[in-house]
Amino acid sequence: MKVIIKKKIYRVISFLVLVVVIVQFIQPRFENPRVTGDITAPAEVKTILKRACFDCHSNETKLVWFDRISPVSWMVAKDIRDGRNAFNFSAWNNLPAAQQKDKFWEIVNHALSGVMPLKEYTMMHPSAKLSESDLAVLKNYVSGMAYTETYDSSKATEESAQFNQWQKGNGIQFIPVASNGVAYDPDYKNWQAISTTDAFSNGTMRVIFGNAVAIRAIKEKNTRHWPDGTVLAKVQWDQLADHEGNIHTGKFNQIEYMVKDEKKYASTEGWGWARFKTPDLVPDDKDAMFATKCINCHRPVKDLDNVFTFPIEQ
Amino acid sequence: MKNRTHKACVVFCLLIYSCNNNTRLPGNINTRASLPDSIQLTVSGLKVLTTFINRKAGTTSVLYGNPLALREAAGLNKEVVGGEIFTLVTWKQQPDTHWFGAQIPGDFLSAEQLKTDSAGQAVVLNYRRYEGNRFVPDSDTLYKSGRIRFILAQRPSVMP
Repeated sequence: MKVIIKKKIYRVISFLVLVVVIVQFIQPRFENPRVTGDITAPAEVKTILKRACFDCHSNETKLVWFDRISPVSWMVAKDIRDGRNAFNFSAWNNLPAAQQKDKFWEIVNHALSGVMPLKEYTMMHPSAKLSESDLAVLKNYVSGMAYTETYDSSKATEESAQFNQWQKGNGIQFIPVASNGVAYDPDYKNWQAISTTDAFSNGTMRVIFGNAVAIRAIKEKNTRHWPDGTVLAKVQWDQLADHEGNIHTGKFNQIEYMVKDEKKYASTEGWGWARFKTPDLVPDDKDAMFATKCINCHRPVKDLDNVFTFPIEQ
Repeated sequence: MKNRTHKACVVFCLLIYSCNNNTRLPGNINTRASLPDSIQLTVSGLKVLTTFINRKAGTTSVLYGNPLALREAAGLNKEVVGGEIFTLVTWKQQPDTHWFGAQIPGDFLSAEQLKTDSAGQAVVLNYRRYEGNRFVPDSDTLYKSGRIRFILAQRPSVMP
């Protein structure tokens, strides 16, 4: 009896070894394309980025021997592909300056919330872990990118022109709809405000509105999983400083919606995501990756049903 | 005996589960900024007119208005008419723990309400200020008129 079991175990083990050997012949191609626009940052910042981010977010990937063992190598290849797609420090300087700033704030926030670097990566590459002092260096560096608000007459003129146009207009003639079916809903103006944000990072300010379903969920403290039918609308303006240094809403930039429908939007975390830009409310859905970008940016609040807002009861 | 042990076990497990469940619920409601019940009434039924930030004081405000107040703020009324209601809510700002680089409303500071009433040909401006949950009688007429002017000077935010 014992001999039979031993034989069986032996067979299983040899089969597994054979499989592992065979899969080694299926190897992804690892390439480091040319560096076209390397990020310029102070040495202490760059050292941290190189250590913690560059393996997946640059064309200077350094693989260690176990990264090349299948099936691990397949996962590594996928992480590198996704990483470079999200942003690439080797092509960083090719991005417009404003986009570089926005992206860096996002990067620092992902590092602070522990979303990045990926746990499975730091487990195998412990040197990539970010220490408290690393995070302090990143925070300090990104703080230098904060928007400085001063009175700017051209911004005031821009806001006035937009305001007059808006007052003169007869409202929108048709309802814009994003490609995922989420429509601009003019009714948001009648909803309750559930919070505001002063994003000094990029010099914008926002009011977040919630529809009746959202307000009920807040009253019932049911915001860990917002119920189906919840709609959140976030209106964003430029910050406009007056002579006294007070900040008012300037130019309207965009309105964003999150529409909860667990079934309909199952593939995008249960939310329909949409953004309508400028007072003409042009859907920002040219990019097929739009929803992925939304979800990626919202990853620090994945456990809070992907919602950044701390709702105010009112 | 066995049965009892089983029951005790089940109760114990349920207890642990419920405790766990409670602690896992993130407290994401901004209770510091939430409006006291009496203040909620001053906002109820009004629409957002605009929002602004006072950098020196580190405060953020939302100005609400009824349809007549919105018309007034947009400059569509030649002069102040009766029946306008404005409520200005102000909070101390606090850092957004979900996003380094942003501030959100912190402690609720005050609500100011301005109501206009027609009295014959004239229009009476009634201003009331609430701090926390209570009404604060302002005897300083200069302060009051300053606040009234300030509220009436606000223009609606562009909201297409």
